Amino acid sequence: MKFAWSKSRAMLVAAALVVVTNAIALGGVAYNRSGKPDSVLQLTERELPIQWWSWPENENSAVHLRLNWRIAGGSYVWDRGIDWLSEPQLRALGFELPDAAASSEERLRAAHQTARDVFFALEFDGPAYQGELERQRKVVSKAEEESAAAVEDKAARERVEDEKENLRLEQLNGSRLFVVAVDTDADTLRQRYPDRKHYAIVSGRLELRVSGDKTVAQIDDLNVNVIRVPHAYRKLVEPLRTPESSITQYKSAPRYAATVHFGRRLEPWIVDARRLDR
Amino acid sequence: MNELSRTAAQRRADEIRVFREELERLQAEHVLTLTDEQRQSVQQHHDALLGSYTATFDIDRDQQAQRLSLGMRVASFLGAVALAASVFFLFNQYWGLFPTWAQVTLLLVASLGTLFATYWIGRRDPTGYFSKLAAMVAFACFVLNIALLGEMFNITPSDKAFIVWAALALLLAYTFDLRLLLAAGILCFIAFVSARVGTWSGVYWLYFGERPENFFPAAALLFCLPLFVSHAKFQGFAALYRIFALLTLLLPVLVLANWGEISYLPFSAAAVERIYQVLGFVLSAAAIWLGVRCEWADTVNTGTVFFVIFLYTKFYDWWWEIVPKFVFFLIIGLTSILFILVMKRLRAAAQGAGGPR
Repeated sequence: MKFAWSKSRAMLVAAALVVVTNAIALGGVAYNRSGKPDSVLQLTERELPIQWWSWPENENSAVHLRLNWRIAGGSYVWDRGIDWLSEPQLRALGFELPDAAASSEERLRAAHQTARDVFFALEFDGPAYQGELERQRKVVSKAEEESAAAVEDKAARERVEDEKENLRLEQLNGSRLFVVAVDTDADTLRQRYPDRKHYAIVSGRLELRVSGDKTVAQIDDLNVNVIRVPHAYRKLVEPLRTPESSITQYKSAPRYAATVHFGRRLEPWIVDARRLDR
Repeated sequence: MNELSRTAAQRRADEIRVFREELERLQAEHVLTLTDEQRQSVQQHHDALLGSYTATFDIDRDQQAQRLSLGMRVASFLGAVALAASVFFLFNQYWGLFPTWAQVTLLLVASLGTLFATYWIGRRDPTGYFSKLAAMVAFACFVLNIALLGEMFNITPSDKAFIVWAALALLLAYTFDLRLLLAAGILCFIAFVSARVGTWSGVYWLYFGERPENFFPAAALLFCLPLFVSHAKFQGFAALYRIFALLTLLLPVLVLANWGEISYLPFSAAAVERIYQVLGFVLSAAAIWLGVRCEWADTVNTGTVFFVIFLYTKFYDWWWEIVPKFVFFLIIGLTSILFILVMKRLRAAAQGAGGPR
């Protein structure tokens, strides 16, 4: 029997392709959101600032919030390097590391390894944040000691004020969401961090950075790094979407909070959002 | 007649026009003289064919019409791209104002609606210009459909989207004989296969381009496909597969010939670069040879362009710093002349072996 191909048959197949693809995508969403969520975090604008896009996405009328994660023990807020991963751990994550006697070319080749798919444990308002506050307090104490030792030094006095302000901002609007562990297996991370209200497991990418003789891992990004604000909460967040009103720029307290669920596929979604009294 | 595509009808019409011109010359030179009856019979047969082609496919009957058609094709291409962009910005601007159920419905209706519109226009547009526009918009709507679903529900990005986009683009390309959609489908196919190959070595799929060797399997598949599947009814399709296959093969080779440290090969960067430099010459020369042998002008041209690029890249590495600039450009000029002579010999050999078919 000869199969007769025609435009109408082709269009039927095309329509079926569209419908089936949509069904698979929506089925995946339903699966992710079914049952008990993998983790539930109560975040605020500190951890979920409004996402800013460049053209052409800045014409997008949807509102997105960015997962504002930090690295435990990171020197700066924007530092993505992880210095607490040992060489054996990096090798276990699939990286090939140059040994001590490696030539500069071998180091360069190691640096060119592409980012690898891994899982991160995100800790919310836990020991990592407390450690960060403690570290900042020590910086203030040290600056005060140095200022006391040099009474006439105006720069030292100003440094004390700067560090006190940094500590105040850290307590006021610094993100409390920290990457505390990396693994190739999500279940292993969950076993290590069973508290589902303070630890979310998410997928992301880890890469290598070679600076001098040192090979450091750094987070490329999370696979889902922005979360769309559901239509029901759009009116709550949308008026705040102006570059001038960023809380870090205006050193102000967070203006909204949101409950974020991470589902079976570790994909997040906002289930509730509310205004915070300031 | 229904078996004939517009491009095949146009080719036949062009052959009729050339035949008529040559027949006039032959008669003027008294080489061939047809009786009035014979001439009339041929004329009537050709007129009937041309009339039927014009009615069914709106073909170009003369050179002036052909020139105007080229302008229409360019306008159709630009219009298709612009309409696809318009759909994207339309969604972008009003997207967030709808509740989730309305967004999902709108996406599905847009994808299915534009498909139906393409079918409807395709049945009424023998020229293909408007079906190309509609098919491009239908493809753009489907791409937006899947991309926006991912964005709406914070779905982890996946390379699998490329295979369904490729499937729809190829389906539309083969149904409406559209090379633009074929190119879109091939690009999606290359992205999918290369990303899959990349993930086998643990690379995050979106970074498949950082290891150029990931493209080689896609190149091989694209090159082999028209060898096993006949594209006689689709003019230019087989050539497009071959051109994309060679680009997918030779562009990564060119990159690796200059940046060896991004290769999978476990050798030093210099060794990898040397391997790919040699491979670049061998593969582009092989493409020229194969193109001449099989009379694939597209393969000969693509191979030639890459052979020249590989050659000039090496000349630059070897001589740019050490010889005076006039000598450098003299070498380039003399090499071009040598290249023309070699190609001329190849052409003569091909014609001697039976000439172009």
